[in-house]
Amino acid sequence: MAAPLPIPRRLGLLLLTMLALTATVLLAGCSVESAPAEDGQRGYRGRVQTPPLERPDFTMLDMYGEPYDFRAETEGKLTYLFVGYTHCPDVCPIHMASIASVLNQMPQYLDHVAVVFITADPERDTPERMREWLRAFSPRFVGLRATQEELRALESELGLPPSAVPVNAEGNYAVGHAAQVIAFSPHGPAHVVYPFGSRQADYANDLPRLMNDRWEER
Amino acid sequence: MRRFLAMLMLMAAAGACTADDSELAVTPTVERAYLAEPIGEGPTAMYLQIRNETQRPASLVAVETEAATQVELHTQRTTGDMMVMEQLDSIPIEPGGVLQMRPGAEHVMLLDPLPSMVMGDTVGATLIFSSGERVQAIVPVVSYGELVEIFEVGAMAPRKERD
Repeated sequence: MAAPLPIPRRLGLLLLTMLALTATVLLAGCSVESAPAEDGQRGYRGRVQTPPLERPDFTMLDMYGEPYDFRAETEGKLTYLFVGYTHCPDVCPIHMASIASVLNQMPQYLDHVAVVFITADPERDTPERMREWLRAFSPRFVGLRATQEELRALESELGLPPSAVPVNAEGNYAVGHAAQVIAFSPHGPAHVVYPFGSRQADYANDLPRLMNDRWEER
Repeated sequence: MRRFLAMLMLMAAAGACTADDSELAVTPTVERAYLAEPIGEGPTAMYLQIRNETQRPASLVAVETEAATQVELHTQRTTGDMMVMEQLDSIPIEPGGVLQMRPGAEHVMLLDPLPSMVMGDTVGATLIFSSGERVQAIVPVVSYGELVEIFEVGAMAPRKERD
């Protein structure tokens, strides 16, 4: 048993503890990253999807006009799927730029990741336009186009709200689309989705986990 | 980038000091501005941080820039997991308030930006308020990659929206 500390030292310790506590509170308050909800999140910062979304089985035309068999092409790869449009000024390019930047920081995973962008605006998103737009982020990103029926079917299978292309009086149109990126595990369904507002740090935190997580205890 | 951030922080600090000043500004002021580098001939977005230190409510009604002929004020409307852009006639800023445009919320949409603009360029912009006041701004062109960093680590960091 240690002898009781003399009063001044005990005071000092108390002060130190208080300081440490204050610092912790301050740091927590200033932290840029919002604290991940631990409940059912298993350390993920994306939104854990329960039940998981089955990996869909579909074929669409890619940005070279060739058929792209989603399951066959992405088998074994952590696959980020996003429905958007290239005339989108911020949500879509921000998601793409975030993922591209995280992949650049983790080149060891490059060959094990697929990023698939499906246009909700096939009228304006010609294969050329999709190539131009996706290349601005990464030469590895894949762009797909579908008929409206195919897209609706996929969105419904993935529980995404149906994308919409309403035209206003001036003939301009804004495309409504799901704001989240869906992450399919390399060999299975999607357990995690990234709503808009997800940060690079969120993708970076989750990527190695998603690569290795077998989701056994779920 | 680090130096740029340090500069931003200095600017923020300077801004904070002016805010404490008893002198009131005559017009709203632009504290920060960014224009995303357009990709090909697609549209792009400009983000402004505007402080209204006047004693009157301000209302931004238009932005003019030599970088595009068609310019609109937009916001993103989110319904559940769905996002859609919506044109705004004006964006109000209360006296003493700050309008902080950011990805996923209010932005100035350039429908036909000059495709030749690249990261590192700067463009001029004129903000037009309902009072008729016009405020000039110099806007640097940044890549979407930079934009992601600015909005994640900078003082303009968006509020994280959790559902």
